[in-house]
Amino acid sequence: MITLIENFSRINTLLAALIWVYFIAFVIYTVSLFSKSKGLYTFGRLTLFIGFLINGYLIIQRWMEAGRPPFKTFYESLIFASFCIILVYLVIELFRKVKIVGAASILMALGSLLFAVVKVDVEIINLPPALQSGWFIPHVVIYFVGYGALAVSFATGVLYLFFPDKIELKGDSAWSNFLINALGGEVIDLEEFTHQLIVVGFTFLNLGLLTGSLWAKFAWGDYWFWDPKENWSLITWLIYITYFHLRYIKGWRGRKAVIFAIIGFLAVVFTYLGMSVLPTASMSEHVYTGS
Amino acid sequence: MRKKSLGFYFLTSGILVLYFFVLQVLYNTNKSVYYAGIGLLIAVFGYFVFKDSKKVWEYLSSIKLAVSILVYLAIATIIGTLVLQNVEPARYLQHYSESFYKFIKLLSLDDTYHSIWFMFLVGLLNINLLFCTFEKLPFKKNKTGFFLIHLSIFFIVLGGTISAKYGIKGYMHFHVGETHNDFNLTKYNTMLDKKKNLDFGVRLDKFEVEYYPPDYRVYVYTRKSTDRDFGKPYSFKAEDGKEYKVREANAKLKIEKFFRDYKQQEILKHDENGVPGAEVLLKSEGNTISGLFFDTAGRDRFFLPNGEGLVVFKWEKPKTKKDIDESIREKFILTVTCPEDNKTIDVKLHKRYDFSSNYIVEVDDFVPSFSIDTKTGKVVSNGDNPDNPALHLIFINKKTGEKTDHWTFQNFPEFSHGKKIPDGCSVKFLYIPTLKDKPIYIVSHDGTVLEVVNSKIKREFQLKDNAIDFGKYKIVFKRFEPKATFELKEISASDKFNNPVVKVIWEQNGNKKELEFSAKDKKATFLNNGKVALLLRDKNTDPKAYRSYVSVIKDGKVVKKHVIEVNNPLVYGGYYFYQSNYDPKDPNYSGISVAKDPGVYIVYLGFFMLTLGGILRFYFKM
Repeated sequence: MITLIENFSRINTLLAALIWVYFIAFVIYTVSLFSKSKGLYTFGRLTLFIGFLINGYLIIQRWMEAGRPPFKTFYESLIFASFCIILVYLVIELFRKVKIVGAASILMALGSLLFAVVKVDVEIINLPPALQSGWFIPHVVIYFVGYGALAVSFATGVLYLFFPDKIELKGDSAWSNFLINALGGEVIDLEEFTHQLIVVGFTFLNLGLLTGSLWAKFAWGDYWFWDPKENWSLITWLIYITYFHLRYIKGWRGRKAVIFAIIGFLAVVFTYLGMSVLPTASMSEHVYTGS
Repeated sequence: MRKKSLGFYFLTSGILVLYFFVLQVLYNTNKSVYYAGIGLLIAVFGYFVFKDSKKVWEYLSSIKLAVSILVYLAIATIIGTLVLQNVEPARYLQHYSESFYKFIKLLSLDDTYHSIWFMFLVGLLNINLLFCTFEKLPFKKNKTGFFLIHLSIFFIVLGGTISAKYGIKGYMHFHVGETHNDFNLTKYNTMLDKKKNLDFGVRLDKFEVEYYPPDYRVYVYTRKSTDRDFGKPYSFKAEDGKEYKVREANAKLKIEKFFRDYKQQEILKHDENGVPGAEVLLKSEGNTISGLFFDTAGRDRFFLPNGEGLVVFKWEKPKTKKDIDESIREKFILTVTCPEDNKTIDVKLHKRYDFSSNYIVEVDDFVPSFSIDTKTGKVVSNGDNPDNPALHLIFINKKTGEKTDHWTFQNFPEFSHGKKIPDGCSVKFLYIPTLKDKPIYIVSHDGTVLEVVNSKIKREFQLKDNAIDFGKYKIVFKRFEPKATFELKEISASDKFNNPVVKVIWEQNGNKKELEFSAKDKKATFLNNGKVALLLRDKNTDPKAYRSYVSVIKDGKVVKKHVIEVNNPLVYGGYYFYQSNYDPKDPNYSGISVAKDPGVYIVYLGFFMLTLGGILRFYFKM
């Protein structure tokens, strides 16, 4: 916490601005959950979109400054992660005005950015030879878009635990009016919604696995190294596979399956952020540089 | 028939997993009992099939079994990331107790992913998914995704098994010029004592390491007064005129000037109180050195390369033989600093001079290369080369006539051999050599050159294009100045990063400080009571690329040329050759790892089927 406050003064002004813009968007989205005002919601969407553009610009700026894709350090990748989370949500919002999912997604993007502030690392590190490959960009981008979708699925999963029932439009109590407003005024099954997001995320995980295995063969001579990061991506994959199968078992769809989905995302977070705490980390080729 | 619960499957498959661990222990301790254990497993399986084959089929094709195996597999994978894998015993004992290490060994947890129990678990998953697949038969179009996904896992595991069984891994040590047609086999990055022959040869023609271009930066380290250690530094590019904010220290850092190859150069400057001077260039092929002459003792002459001659600068051409001899003779310049007075004397051997209030000095002897004979203990000269000129002085008390003697050294003014210098004075000695039997060129401001050998004028001529041409090089007199002095100018002598130096202005609390530091001495400059440290260094010291230029040789002919880089292996004869090592101490060494993996394409097929199957199943409901 102290590091966060201390570092806030030394970060890129644009990053500080972005954090504020996302924060304002979060507040507006949260307020609009309790308000039927269309203007307020539109203003929130606009704020979020401006934030999204700034986020994209930050990535491009860093890319130009470093002369290489900005996915090398924790700091860089966390900014990209927040971009991907918002990207996934903005696509969802084109189809469904699920404001409450929006608020949750912005909160996660903010978490990612605040973590970037803690891990702040303005130093630009050169790419070692192994990362100088045509596979670098597709491999990372695919995984991060997947992570973005899974992050939003985590948000919808947690929301499902709070609002487990199908919301019907005909509800007339204050509570169901709130839910209908928060979920975009349509019938929505949050469990199915979570499932669809995991399907998207899982597809990207598979693509990431495919590109990663091809790249590893060219760079290191093997498609799979039992590297801790690879193992944890396997663990993540196994958890989601288990989730998909659980949904086919009678009595396991719903709450129990969603808990697996949530565990799955926690595994994603650990795969992404937790490698350095593993005792086997020193053997990994995937540990981010820059504490 | 009542369906079994998920718990039942977890329990039964859990028992199986425990049995796999038992098999592992048996495998590691007693092989024959291990085979008996496998026999028992098959027998029990046979018993169940015999008893109720339908139930066995139902069990093995159950989705609940799939779920429990997947969970166990996930746990097993986690264990493998928590326990160190395939490292030396010493490292295990560093982290774990000896008994725990024995336990790890017993269950092969040090090589989790290649252990027998892990294989059995993967095998069980495969049996399960194959049964599931059979269950879904016959094939229909809307089941394409399902079949692709489930068979993909089978293919991946099959490919992996083929890789493990028939794959070859190895390592080649190369020095430039060597051809190898065999390589050392390796397992998990350790060398085996086995070689594998190739039916072709690989020759390393050239090896190079490319580095990122230098990027010199000023690193700013800060700490609070309560901290012992400095935090992470910030670096600022050393680029002329750039100004940076250093938020931590609430300061501004301005890069005034960055020199790649810092040198201080003397620049000729007009000065009313100065002495005659000249600016000179020594030009040889591709190289120019500049220097200054002053018509004053110690600054008026310059030896030509290899001692071929001497150039002496005299503002007016010396007219008489006496003038000439005076201009070119060797000189001993003594600078005397006493509490009451300073003076510089052009002294001659065996003469006496007034020294201080109580003493006179006699210049007794000179040696061009001071040395002491170890046998006699007497001062001798180590030849005629003036590499350690020393002057023997005798101080004589004006009143008593008492004598003290002293050796003074040009190169070591602080050091004295003999008695102390009297009256609290100090001396500095400068030896100005001359040349015998070789030409001396006396150049004067009107461009006249006198060539003198052993005090005799050989010829007199005029500078041509302001220069004297000596063939391999020439000396150009760029400028003559009747009243001149010099100022020091800081320049970059070349474009190479030979001596990077930066000049910065550090502005804090309204105070400006001009600082200059060099990357060569690697010393930090401390500021603000040691709370800030500045350092100039190159950020880019890491390699950008390693390149091995290789030729493949078959039947004495070069059949393929390739540049192996990381991410760009040589592929030949089913083998992949990778850039995997280099030796910072030996620029001719390149370490190449070798792999042959017949299973890889099946694995890729599996990954592709998995991805495609997922898309078909989820998005096209196929």
